[in-house]
Amino acid sequence: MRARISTSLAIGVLASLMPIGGVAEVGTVTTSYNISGLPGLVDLPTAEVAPDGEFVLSFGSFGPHARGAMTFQATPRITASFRYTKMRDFGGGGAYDYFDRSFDVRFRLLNESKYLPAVSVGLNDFIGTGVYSSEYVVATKSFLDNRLRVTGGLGWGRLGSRDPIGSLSGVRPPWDYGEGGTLSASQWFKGDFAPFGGLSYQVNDKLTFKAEYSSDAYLRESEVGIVELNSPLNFMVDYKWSQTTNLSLFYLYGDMIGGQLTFSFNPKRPASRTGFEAAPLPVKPRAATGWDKEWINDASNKSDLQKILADAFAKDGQRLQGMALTSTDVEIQIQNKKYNSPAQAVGRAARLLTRVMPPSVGVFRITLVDNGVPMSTVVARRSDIEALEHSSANEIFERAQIVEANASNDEMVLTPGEYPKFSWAITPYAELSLFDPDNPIRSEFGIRASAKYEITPGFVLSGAVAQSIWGDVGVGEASPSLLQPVRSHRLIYARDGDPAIEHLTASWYTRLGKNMYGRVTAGYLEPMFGGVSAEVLWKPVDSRLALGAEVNWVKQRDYNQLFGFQDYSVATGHLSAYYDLGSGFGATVHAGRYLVGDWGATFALDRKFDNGWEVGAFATFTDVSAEQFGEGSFDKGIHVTIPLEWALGQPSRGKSVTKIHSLSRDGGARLDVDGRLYDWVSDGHGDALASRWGKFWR
Amino acid sequence: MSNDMKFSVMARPMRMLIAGVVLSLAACGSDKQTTQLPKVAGEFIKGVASNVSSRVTAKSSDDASQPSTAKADPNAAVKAALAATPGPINLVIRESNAAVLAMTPIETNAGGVTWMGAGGQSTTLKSGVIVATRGVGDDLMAADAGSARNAIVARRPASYDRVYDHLTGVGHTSKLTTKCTLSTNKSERLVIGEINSAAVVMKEDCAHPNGIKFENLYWVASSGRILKSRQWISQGVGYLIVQPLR
Repeated sequence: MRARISTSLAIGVLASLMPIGGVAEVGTVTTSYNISGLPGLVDLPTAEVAPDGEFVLSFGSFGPHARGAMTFQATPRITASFRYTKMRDFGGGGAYDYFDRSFDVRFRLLNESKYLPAVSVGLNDFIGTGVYSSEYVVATKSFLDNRLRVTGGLGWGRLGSRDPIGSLSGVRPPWDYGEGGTLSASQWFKGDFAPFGGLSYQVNDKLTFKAEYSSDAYLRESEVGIVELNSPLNFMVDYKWSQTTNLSLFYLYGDMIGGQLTFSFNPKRPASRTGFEAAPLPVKPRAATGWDKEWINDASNKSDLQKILADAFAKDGQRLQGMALTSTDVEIQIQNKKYNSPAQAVGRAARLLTRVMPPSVGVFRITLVDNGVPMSTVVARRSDIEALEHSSANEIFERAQIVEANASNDEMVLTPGEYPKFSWAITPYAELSLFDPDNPIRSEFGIRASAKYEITPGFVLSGAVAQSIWGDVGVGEASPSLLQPVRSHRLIYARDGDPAIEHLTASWYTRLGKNMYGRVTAGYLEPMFGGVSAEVLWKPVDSRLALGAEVNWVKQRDYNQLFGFQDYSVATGHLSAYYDLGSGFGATVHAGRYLVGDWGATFALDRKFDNGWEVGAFATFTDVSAEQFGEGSFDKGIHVTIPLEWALGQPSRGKSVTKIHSLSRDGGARLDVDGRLYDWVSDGHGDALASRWGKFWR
Repeated sequence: MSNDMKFSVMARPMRMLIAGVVLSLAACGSDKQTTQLPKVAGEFIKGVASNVSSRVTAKSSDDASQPSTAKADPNAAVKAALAATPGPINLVIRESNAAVLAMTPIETNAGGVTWMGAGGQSTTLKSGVIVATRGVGDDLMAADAGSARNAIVARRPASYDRVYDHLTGVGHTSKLTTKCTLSTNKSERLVIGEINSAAVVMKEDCAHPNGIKFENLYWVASSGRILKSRQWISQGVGYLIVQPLR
C-alpha cells in the first residue's frame, strides 16, 4: 500500500530554480564581426558585445591568410574566441605554410551611457605561441539611434606596432613560449602602445559599412614578405544574408582583399521552429459516479490497465517499464525516449493516466527511468491535473512534488514484453578531424551498425561496428610521442580499423541506495581501450552538488579494433565533483590517474542553458611535464553540446556533443566509456525537471 | 622564428565528431533515438537546399513550409468536412497562409473544450475563445481570458487585461500581458455550413508596451455563441480564424 504522499522535498528549493527572466543585457550589441571573428571593426576590436549566449563560427580568407574562428558570448560581458589561421609561406622565413591557434578574450568594463562610451579590455592570443599576441583598451559610442558607432582605442603588442605614442614599463619583454600553451602574462600591457580607431555605419537591417585606422604594422608578415603594407586603412562591407548568416567583403592595408562568412547561433533562438509534435491527448475528467474500489479485487483488471497504458505510451514515444497500482494510488516507471524536457514526458504521462485509471485512483506518481534505473518521481494529485490543464505551467509546478524515486518498490510489476528487448540501427556517420597542419580538414564518411539487448532493467549488452566508405582521417604519419601512445596513434586506429568494433560491452546500472547510483561496464569500452570500468555516483534529487568515483582497469586495443589487445595495460580512475554554480554555470573537477599512468586533475567550466545547450572549456594538469607532453604543454579544449530538438525542431532527447582538444596528445587523457552516470542521472533529476517545466502541458 | 619548424611538425589534429550527417543513405532500425538524427538531418538538408534555391529564384514565403496543413478552396473544404463528420466541427484557418484544418471536439475539461485535427494539432476553447493551441508550432500554451470572455459573450464593450503564456527559445514560460478594449463594430448575417444567423461583430484591440499589437474579431449571436472569430495566437503563428460549421 503506497497511498502516502511524500513530502520530502522542499518545493521552495526547486521553485528558486524556476526561470525568472533573462540575464541583464549590457547594451552596445552587434552581430557584425571583424576578421578575427569577434564583434568589431575590420581587423580591429570594438567595445561591442554579441548578444548573450551567441555562438559564432566564421570562415574567412585575405591575402595569404585563411581563418576559421569560433566565438562565444559567454556572459553578457565576456566574449571568448578560439581561432585557427593558416598563413601561406610564412613558416621558416617563407619556406612553408604556417598554422596558428589562438585564444582571445574580451571583457566589457563599462556600459555605454548617455554621454559616455562603452569600454572593453581584451587579450588576443594570450595562450600559445603568440603570433597575434596583443592587448587593448577600447571605447565605442553609438549615435543616430545605434546606426553609427565610433570606436577608439589603444593597443599593445601587435596592436601597438604602428606609430606608437608611448610605452608602459619600458620595452615589452620577449616571450619564450616553449611548448606553447602557457599564459603570456608577463607581457600583457607592456611596451609600446599605439592608437587605433574607426567607424561603423549601419545603412539598413542588412548592410553595414566599416572603416578603420589600424595600429597593427604586420611587422613579421612584412619581414617574411607575404604582406606589403601600403596604408593603415581598412574597409569592410558586411551584408546580413539571413538571421544566421553574414557575408562580408573587405580591403586591407591597401594590399589585400578578402571575404568572410559568419554563422551565428543562439541557444535562446532555436534554429528550427519548435512545437510541431502532435498535440497530447487531453485530460479526461472523472465522472461523478463509479468511484468504488471493488475493481482492485479482480487481478486481471490490473494487468489489463497496464497493457492499455503501455500501448498508449508506446504511441507517445515513451516506454512503460513498470506499474504499481492500488485502488487509490498509481506509480508508473516511464522511459522517456522522445522529449528533451522530462517535464513534457511527465505531463503527457499524467494526461494518459487520467484517460486510463479508474476514478478511485487519486494520486499519480510518475517516475522517470533511464537505463532501467529509477531517478526521480513527480507526485501529483489527479484532481490538480484535472483542474489545471488549461492553466499556466507554473501552477501545476507549485502543486506537484519532485522527490527521489523509490529504488525498489515491491509492488512494481514489470510491463510484460518490455524485457528482454532488442533494438538495432544502421546509420550513416560523418567524422571531421580538424587542424592537422598537413591537412587542416580531414573527414570520413561511413556506415555504423549498432545493436542493444536490454536483458533486465539496468542490464544491457551493446555494440557498434563502423565501416568507413571514404575518408582521409587515417592518411599520413602518426605523431611521435615520448609517452605511451594512448591517444596520439588515433590516426593509425582510423587507418587500420576497417571495419572497427567501436564498442562491445555488457553494462549494469543500478541504484545502490538513497541518492546513490552505480555502474559496471565490461568489454571493449571504446575504440582504443577495453577492460572493466566501475563507477558510483552520489546525487540527491534536488542537490547542486554531486560526487562520483570511478575505477577502471583497461588494456590498449589492437589498431585493427577487432578483438585483440596490445601489451599496454593501466589502472585508471577518478574522483569527481559536479557543482551547479547558479546563473547557468556548472563546474566539474575530475582528479585521479589518467591513461599513461599520470596523476592529476581536469577542471571544466560550462555555461549551461535550460534547453540543454552547453558551451565550456576544460584543462587537465598532470605530473607529465610540458616536455614529455609535447606541443601545447597540457591537455585543454572546448566542449559544445547542442540539443537536436533545438537544431531540428522535432522532439528529441538526442544531442550533438563536440569536444575539441586543442591538441590531442597522450598526457592527461581519460578513458572514454559510455554511460557515465552523471551525464544521464542529472537529466532525470529535479533541476532538469524544473528548468524545462514550461513544457509540462506541451 | 626558429621554432616554426618544430611547431609545424609537432602540431596534431584536433578532432571533432559530428554524428552521422550529410550522407543521403537512409537510416533504418528499431532504435528510433539512433536513427532519428540522420533521417531528420536529411530532411533538414533538403529543406535548406529548397529554401536556398527558392531564395535564388524568387522571394519565397516562410509559411510555405508549414506541415500537415493544406491550402484549399473554402467551399470545398466546408462541404467535405460536413460530409465526413456528423457532429460539431470547426474549420481552423491560419490567416498568414490560408492553411485549413478541420477539428472536432474530443474532450471537455475544466471549462475548456479541446478540439483536435487529423494532423495532430489541437485548439482548446472556452466559450469560443482560444485559450491554448498544441502542435501548431509557436503555440499558445495558456491564456487568462476570463474577463474578455464574459464581455464578448455578453456583446458588451469593455476594457481589460489579457494574459498569454508562450514558450521562449529555451523552453521557459513567458507571460505577455496585453491591455485590450472590446468594442461593437457592426452587425451582419453569417451564412456558412449549417450556420445561418445574425451576429454582432465585436472588435478586440490589444497592445503591449513592447510594440506587440493585434486585433481580434468575434461574430457573436444573441445567444452568446461565437459563430466565427479571428484570434491572435502568438508572434510566430499570427491569427487563427475559427469557423464553426454546425
